Amino acid sequence: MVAAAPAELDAATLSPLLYAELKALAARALREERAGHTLQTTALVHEAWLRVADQRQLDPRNRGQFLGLSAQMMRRVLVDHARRRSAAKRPTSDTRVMLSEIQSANDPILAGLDTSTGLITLDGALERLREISPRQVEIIDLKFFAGLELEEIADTIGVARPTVVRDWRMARAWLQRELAHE
Amino acid sequence: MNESRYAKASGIVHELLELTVTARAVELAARCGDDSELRQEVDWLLRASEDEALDAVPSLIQAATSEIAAEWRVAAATPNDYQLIRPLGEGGMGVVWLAERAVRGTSQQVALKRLHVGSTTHRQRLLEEQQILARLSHPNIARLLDAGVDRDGVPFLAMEFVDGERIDDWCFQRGLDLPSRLHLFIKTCEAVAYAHQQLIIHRDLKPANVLIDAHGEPKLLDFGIAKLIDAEAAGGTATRIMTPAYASPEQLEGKSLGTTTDVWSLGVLLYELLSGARPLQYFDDVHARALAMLSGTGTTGTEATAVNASATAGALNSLRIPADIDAIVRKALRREPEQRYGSVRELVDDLERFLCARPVLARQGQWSYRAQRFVQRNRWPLAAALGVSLLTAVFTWRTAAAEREARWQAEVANRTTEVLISAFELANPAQSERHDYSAREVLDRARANIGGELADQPKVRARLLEALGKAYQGIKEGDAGAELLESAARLQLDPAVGDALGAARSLRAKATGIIANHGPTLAAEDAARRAFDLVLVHGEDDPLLLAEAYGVLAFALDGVGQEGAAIAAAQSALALREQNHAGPNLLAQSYLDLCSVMTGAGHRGAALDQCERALALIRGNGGRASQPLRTALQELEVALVYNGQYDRGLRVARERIALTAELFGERSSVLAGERLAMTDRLAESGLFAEADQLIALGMPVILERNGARSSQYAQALFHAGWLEFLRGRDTQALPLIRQALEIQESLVEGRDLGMLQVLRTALAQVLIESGQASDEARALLETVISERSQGDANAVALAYARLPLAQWHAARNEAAAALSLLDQVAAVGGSVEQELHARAAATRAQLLRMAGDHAGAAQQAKVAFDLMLADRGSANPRTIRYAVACAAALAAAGDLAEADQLLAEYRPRLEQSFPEDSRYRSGGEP
Repeated sequence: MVAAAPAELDAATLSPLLYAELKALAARALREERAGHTLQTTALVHEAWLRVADQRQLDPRNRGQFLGLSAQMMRRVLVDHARRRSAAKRPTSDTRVMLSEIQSANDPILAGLDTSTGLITLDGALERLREISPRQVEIIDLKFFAGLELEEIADTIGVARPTVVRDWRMARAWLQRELAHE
Repeated sequence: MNESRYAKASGIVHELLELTVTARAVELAARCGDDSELRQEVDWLLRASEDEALDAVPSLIQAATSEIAAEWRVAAATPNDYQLIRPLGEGGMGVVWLAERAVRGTSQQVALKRLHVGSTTHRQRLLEEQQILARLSHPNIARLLDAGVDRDGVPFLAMEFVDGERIDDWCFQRGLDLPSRLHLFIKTCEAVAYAHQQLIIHRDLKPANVLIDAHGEPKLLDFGIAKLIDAEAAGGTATRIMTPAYASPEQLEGKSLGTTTDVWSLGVLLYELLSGARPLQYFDDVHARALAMLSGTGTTGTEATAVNASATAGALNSLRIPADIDAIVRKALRREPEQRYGSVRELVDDLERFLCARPVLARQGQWSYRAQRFVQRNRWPLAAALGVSLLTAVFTWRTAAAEREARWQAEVANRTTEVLISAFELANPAQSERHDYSAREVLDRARANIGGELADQPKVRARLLEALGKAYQGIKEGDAGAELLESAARLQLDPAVGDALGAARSLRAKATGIIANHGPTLAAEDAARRAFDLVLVHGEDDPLLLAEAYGVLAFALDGVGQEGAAIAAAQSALALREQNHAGPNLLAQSYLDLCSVMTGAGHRGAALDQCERALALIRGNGGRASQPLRTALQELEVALVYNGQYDRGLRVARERIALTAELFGERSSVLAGERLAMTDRLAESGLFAEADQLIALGMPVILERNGARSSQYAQALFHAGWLEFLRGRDTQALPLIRQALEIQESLVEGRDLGMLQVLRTALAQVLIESGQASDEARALLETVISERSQGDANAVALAYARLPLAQWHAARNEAAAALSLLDQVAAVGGSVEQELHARAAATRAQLLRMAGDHAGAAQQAKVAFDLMLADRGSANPRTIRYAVACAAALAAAGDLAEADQLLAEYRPRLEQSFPEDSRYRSGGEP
């Protein structure tokens, strides 16, 4: 195969492509029952990379940046779905899995909200955090929506691991405080 | 600002954490100075940064993804929707979810399996198989409740959800003794034996598929599912569904399987329950195990445990596993199927012999053996005696309980009789002055009696409410029956009565009553579904009861936009009846139900086939003069009409009437009613003379049997009037129909709206078509339309009243009002007789003619004529009328040649068909 010159990574072009790709992948994963009981966002995001990189002849060196973008798009996929559902939803009794039911004691974020509302609220808070610290948001996205471990995140975004750990924990504390006022 | 403080503080924290702990304090003071808020923020973030407890991804994300997954995942096929709650596990066949099936207000938890199946070609096979599985009805088998294909095209199965513990965990964690374990195992075997009787093999028996529920009862999961999947995969190369550790040699080899494959798996299970290890667990490698098993070199029997160093802690000490049990396990685990126990029953028998200390067949032939067991059995005569007395006590107690129940039943019967008798005393001339009480008055009196008296006797009260409700349904008196039956069901469900199947019976009666009085409505569907769910839960031992519940559900679903589900329900009823060897009459009933729901779904040809099948079955069963034959003929007649086979429909009707004469007698009111009802169809086919004959036969009987002030007489008058109307003798028709309406109005006092509506519509139509588009006609129709618009408006019923109203407006040249009504009529499409659409077209022709558009009028007149010609043929009186009207319209539009041609053909027919004084002969509007 004749390799064309690796294309530049252009977020504006790739975002809609990724969004569609992730949704399709998620739907397929669900259909094939490969995903177990969660979406396994990690697998989806990695698969999206393989497909889009192949289609678009992306430079493998851009993988880290790409994963960041994918994680962000994964969040969009989920939040959009949550929005649609909230809009269509009858009163809350219909929400089967209430966060309060599955909430563990050490997970105080968004306590008491149902998952759709929680996801939308979280999304809003992350967008506010982006104004303060885009890197922290990227870390959160990679951890929450691409399912990456902190070590992988450090490799992906090219930041020292201890820094990633601190940023992650501080961002989480910030989210917790921010959402407590919601 | 908060944001900038956070940004600044997090920067500081990054730097501080690079320092040693002592240097941090200094730097912290230097960086924050006297900004105490910043200092607080930094302190807080420092703590957070070192808090590992926060490192988990919040459960919100897990919950959100799995919830959204759930939504993307499932939208189950009809008739029920499922909502996923949480995953229960993942097996070879797919992920299993705890799901909830919402059924109008109530919900049922089920274990929902979405199956890993690639191909879609065997889906039909899958559905057929599931009907066979659905017949498995045993207290120790989790039921298959539903199956289908979801929105994504993935087949799914909904099983009874069992909230229980695996049998091995249950035994080990409770440290159960040998007899307790054997009892659990025997119950499991009995469930398997039951399924084997139904020719269903489990094929994947293992501890994970045997759960012990809250009552300590074993429940077998996934019965026959492996077969389903295999059937699905049969065309491809997909691997068989099995669990190698429990699979029999023949299963591993891919040979055909018999019930003895389950005997093998049960052997493994028994072994595991007792020893905590699987017989061949010491082979690490699956292939080695398979090879060992296939070659017969693997050691089976309990000594293998010795090889296994890590037997589960909860296992019985292998020294305490008796040699008998060891022998039983060995016999179950023979490599050759024919050397194993021939049936699960035999395995159970041996285990029971062991428990009763009788010789175990597996060890027969060892001469010392029987003697040894005999000694053991007779070692403690005292204990044996104790056992006998205990048994006697239990028996006595049971007998006493049965007697109590019998006495109670008698009491209920007595009390029921008392209340009914007190109601009927009302009609006793010795006790009251009037003696012409109607059934309704008697029932009203009975209802008043149970209202007060029986509050302290809920069981009697429930029984009476049910009986009265059914009686009310029988006399078709409004909704009193439905209300009584609802009260009965509520009471029967009350813990004080605790008669869930009785409640199901009441609800079923309620549903059928509503359907009979109002057609299938949401209220009927609700009652039918509740009845169905009750039978599903409480009537598991009685598949025929379930079949009946399915049948009623089918009727309730039919016509409320769920025709597919209705057909599925009727088919389930049929399958259940077939599997349980129901008698030919019950099977025929299922075919007739299917016929009816298929008609509702528009599958008219298939419906007719079902009907013929029912009839053949009944006739084959020697049912020459029987009630089922009469019912079948009635259905066949309707199916034939729906299929446009009018002539054969008439022949069947004649046969039915002859049968009714035989069954009920020449002077019976039933026969007279049938004769009168048939006149409409005879007249529609132009057989006026035969219709006259039937009126002459029926009318005197009705007068004699039912009297002049009866609903039956009102109907008789209506049929006589309608016959006159259909042949165009309006002056004779009007007084008859008017009298019918007056009688009916005086009788029902606003109840039984159905008949009133028919009479009002008929009177209005006769008035309008005979040129009297009066205010009276309009008021009659508007009453009917307003009544039929209430509740679940039935578009078809409404169309029959809207069309004459359109004709009324057309007669007054009010085109806009007429056209809007005609559009509403057109919207019901093929669900009404073609005559209605033909009449609508003729009305449009009339409107166009009055507007001077003769070409348009001719076109519509032609539409009317063509519709009737296609539906009923050229000899039909209506076709003839529309042909003549069409000729007139063509002539007015200037198409004289075609008009003449039509007239030449149809004018003689008109004169042949209609009497001289008919409006149609004198060129009246059709």
